[in-house]
Amino acid sequence: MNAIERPRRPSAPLLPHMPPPLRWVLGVGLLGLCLWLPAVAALFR
Amino acid sequence: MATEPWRQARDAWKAQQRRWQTGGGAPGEAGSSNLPLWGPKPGGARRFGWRVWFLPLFLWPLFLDVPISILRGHVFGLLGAGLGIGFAFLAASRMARGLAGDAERGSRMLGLAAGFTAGFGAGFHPLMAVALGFGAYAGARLITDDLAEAEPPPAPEPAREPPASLAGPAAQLARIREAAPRLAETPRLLSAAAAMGSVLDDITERPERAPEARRFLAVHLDGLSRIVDRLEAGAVPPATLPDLLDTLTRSAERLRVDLRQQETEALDIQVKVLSDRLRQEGL
Repeated sequence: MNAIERPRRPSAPLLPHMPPPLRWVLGVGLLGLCLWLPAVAALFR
Repeated sequence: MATEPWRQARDAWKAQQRRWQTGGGAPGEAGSSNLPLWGPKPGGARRFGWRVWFLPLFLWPLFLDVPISILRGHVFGLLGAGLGIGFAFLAASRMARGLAGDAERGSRMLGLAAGFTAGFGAGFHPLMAVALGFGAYAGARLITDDLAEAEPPPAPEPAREPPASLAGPAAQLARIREAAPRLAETPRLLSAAAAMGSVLDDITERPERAPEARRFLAVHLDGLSRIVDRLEAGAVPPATLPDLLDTLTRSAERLRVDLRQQETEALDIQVKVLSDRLRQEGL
């Protein structure tokens, strides 16, 4: 079955003026806070 | 001994590694030494690798949570852990596909994973779960945005063919050049053909100039073509023919100069406008 791909509009990057290493650090921090922390909370619930 | 098979295999492997490092390897392979540390890599290959597949690893506590929830009989805990793990791996696989927009969609899925984990798994307040979902989405976007920007290079521009309206004049010119060596007044015919060829090249490169040169194409080139036809048919060239050919050459050269002059004037105007603008902005 051929999936018909809808053409997608490229989304603007978040915080485009921030240098990439800083963006990665911020991203990892956010994921740690918003992804890892709830997972730990679920484990110790 | 240099002829041992394992040594040959090792040398071949090292040569392949050197090719990859100098960017001469197979398309899609990462050269390492001379590539920028970040940003789009040349060659159009996207590096959706470890950066994408490490994202679900943030949820490693859920792998412990699943058996614990099963043993304790926590339905919502199991639901949250299952949805979190599932959406996180869906997100990673979507991002790893690497098509346009996949980084964005994968980030949304990771946000959903965070929301389900926080809401069902950890039992947070729904608003808190939504906020954490948006946070995880933003974090994933920050990590993968520059991957998504690495678009494949545009396809090489096909060689420019003369437009259909110029195909006829080009053929006429080719025929004149081909016939001229056999006719009288060969040097003048060739120089006129060369001058007209230059104009035709200019028009081919900049088709927007074609209307201005339409009269030239319709009258001068066509006339020269007819003269060549008559000469080929055995006509005796009149005494005024050399002068006419010189005039045709000069007019073609002047037309070319005029066309360039228009470009120069347009550039002058552009420079003046930009200079005025910069002066108004105090620069």
